Amino acid sequence: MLLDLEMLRIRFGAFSPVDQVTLSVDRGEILGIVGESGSGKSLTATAIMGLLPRIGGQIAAGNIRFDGTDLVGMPERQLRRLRGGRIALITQNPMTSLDSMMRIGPQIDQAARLHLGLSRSAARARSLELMADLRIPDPASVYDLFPHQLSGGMKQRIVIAMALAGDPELLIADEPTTALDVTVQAQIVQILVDLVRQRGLGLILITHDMGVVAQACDRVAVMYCGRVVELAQVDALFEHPRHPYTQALIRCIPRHDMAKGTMSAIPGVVPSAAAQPPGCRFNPRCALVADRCRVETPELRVGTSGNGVACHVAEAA
Amino acid sequence: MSDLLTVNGLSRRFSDGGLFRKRKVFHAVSDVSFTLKRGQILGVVGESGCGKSTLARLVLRLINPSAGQVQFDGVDMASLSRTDMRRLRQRMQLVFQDPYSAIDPRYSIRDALLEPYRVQGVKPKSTDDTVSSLLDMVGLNGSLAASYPHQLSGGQKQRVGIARALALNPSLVVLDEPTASLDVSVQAQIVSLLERLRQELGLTYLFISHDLGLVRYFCDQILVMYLGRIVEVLPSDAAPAHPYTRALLDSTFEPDPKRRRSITRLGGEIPSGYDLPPGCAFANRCPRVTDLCRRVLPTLTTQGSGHQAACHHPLAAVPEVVEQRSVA
Ligand SMILES: Nc1ncnc2c1ncn2[C@@H]1O[C@H](COP(=O)(O)OP(=O)(O)OP(=O)(O)O)[C@@H](O)[C@H]1O
Ligand SMILES: Nc1ncnc2c1ncn2[C@@H]1O[C@H](COP(=O)(O)OP(=O)(O)O)[C@@H](O)[C@H]1O
Ligand code: SF4
Ligand code: SF4
Ligand SMILES: [Mg+2]
Ligand SMILES: [Mg+2]
Repeated sequence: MLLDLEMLRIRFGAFSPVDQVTLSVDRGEILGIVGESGSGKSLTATAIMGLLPRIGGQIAAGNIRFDGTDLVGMPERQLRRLRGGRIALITQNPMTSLDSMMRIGPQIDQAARLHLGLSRSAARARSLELMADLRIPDPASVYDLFPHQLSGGMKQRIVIAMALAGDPELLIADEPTTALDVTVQAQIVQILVDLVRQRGLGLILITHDMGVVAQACDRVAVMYCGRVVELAQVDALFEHPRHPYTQALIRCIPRHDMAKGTMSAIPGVVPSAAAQPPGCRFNPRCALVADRCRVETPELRVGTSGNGVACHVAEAA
Repeated sequence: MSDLLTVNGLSRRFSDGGLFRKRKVFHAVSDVSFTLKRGQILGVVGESGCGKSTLARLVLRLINPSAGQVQFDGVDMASLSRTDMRRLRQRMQLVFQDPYSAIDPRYSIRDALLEPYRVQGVKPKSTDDTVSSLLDMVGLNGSLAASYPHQLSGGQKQRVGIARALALNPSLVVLDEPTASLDVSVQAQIVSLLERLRQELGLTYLFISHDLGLVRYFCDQILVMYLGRIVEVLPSDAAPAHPYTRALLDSTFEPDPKRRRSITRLGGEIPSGYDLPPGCAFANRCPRVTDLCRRVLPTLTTQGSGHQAACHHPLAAVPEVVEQRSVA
């Protein structure tokens, strides 16, 4: 496995917004992480990047093994060498990664110079090649532009080029298309999928869009209230979702072949971080809730297949 | 069914520049015509900046058109006096794209729900009963009346926005991307609520969205906009005839891994609304473009029942073929 997270718990003071996160991604594989806003997707990505201390958080338990080495407790100096090099992150808003005062090209060059030790001219040649790979029209002209001169989709492609410049083995894309129009979103997702297939990188694709998951991912981790509740192959997840939350989530997605008036919603709301129910966190909204669910927290047990579900009822079935 | 709304040749230009700079004219909405029957749900789709919100504001006459007419229930809105216009306003309401900006943060939910009555100078019989029945109608607990917007979730705020729009018993509700900022599970709750309210209150909806999947599920008829113009009008289960609608559909990811398809990559950038090309605005990105398209603006022509497209070379009405090929 390229990346292996085991029972990860993230803590901010007395409060643990992410707990029991177990997931893995291999080279040449796309793992989707889905869940509603606040379910802990971005914090998980932040933890993998070793950036939790910057936002005041820490890892309270668990491991993050990257290519066999545990990143938990690794000195910042070593982490810095990995970040932007062997592990790269693409965020939702391209402007968090881009410097508005700096021309596009040199921003892409930076990672290659820092992590691959390339000369200025070699880095430039590599950046132009990456831009062409990402089908940015006329790379040589775009190289000299400033970020504000580009459309949102083009900026996101530049951010992907920056992430690729350090020749990463693991790429984490946190809602890379949420701010974009559908036709542009489709292009960006296609670019990411092609990168995995052609270069054999491992990709963690974080999204709240089940359509993107179905079309692009190999395996999926479903998160609810800071926990992974189901881990499955993409086909199995859509065909036989096991966790009641996954089942309900799939029924919420509008599909054109669905008869009008048949979309079903999940009753109730996501509990706030301060008011998590005891036992299974989904129990106040679950149609299958049993007495046990209100007291005993179901654990995610991952089998040899790499699949698993955290639910008392589904596990017994 | 009779027509509730008839829109004819509606256009809106915005100009900037002035004395010393060359005046530039931006075509936000151009020559839009359609009718909306009582009780129908008409969807409007298109990408960011194509003029959807501008069209909504024109229909409700929150801004004036540069050309064209809007008839509401047979009455030309331009002909109305200020008082009559205000009275008509009660019958057409808007639900905003962003539930966060729609309610004044200083108002309690109770005040927000009573605001439409104040604005219209109408006095409800009992304010307490009105507030609790409005909250009840949108599935919110009556105890929320004393809360302030920052204490509510996005979905709750959007329910308040809907309740407020329904306060004065409108006939037409214009919904401008009412679920764009919400999670799918919350979107499903809002969509089910809108379906129920339409049945119970006999409402007519103009439903704006950039999500073709949602619009195909929720609406009866769909208008597709590109750069301010309607490029296609189609029943929600019809196969598209316009290459742009086709591209939009191909870019929509279906939540079904067995129906993976290769993405037809649209080339080119969307032209600017400042200098529109003389012919078809989609010509620089269209796989079917010919010389004719670059010279002559295509107009809406009939493709089937309730189906029109503005294209010189429309796609044949073949049933939708799903490629079994994966994006991989
Ligand atoms: N007051 C104005 N002055 C100048 N241009 C304007 C004005 N209002 C809107 N526009 C322009 O008209 C175009 C259409 O805007 P509109 O808000 O209707 O788009 P939209 O389809 O609702 O987009 P979105 O999906 O992003 O909400 C945009 O390019 C916008 O910049
Ligand atoms: N810097 C932070 N300090 C404290 N709590 C945080 C911080 N960032 C996020 N959280 C909390 O952690 C939870 C998960 O957040 P996040 O990972 O951003 O969710 P997602 O990306 O799935 O929308 C939320 O309840 C959020 O309020
Ligand atoms: S553990 Fe119980 S409450 Fe939780 S999802 Fe399973 S059945 Fe529902
Ligand atoms: S008129 Fe021509 S360019 Fe425009 S959509 Fe039709 S085929 Fe394409
Ligand atoms: Mg996030
Ligand atoms: Mg808008």
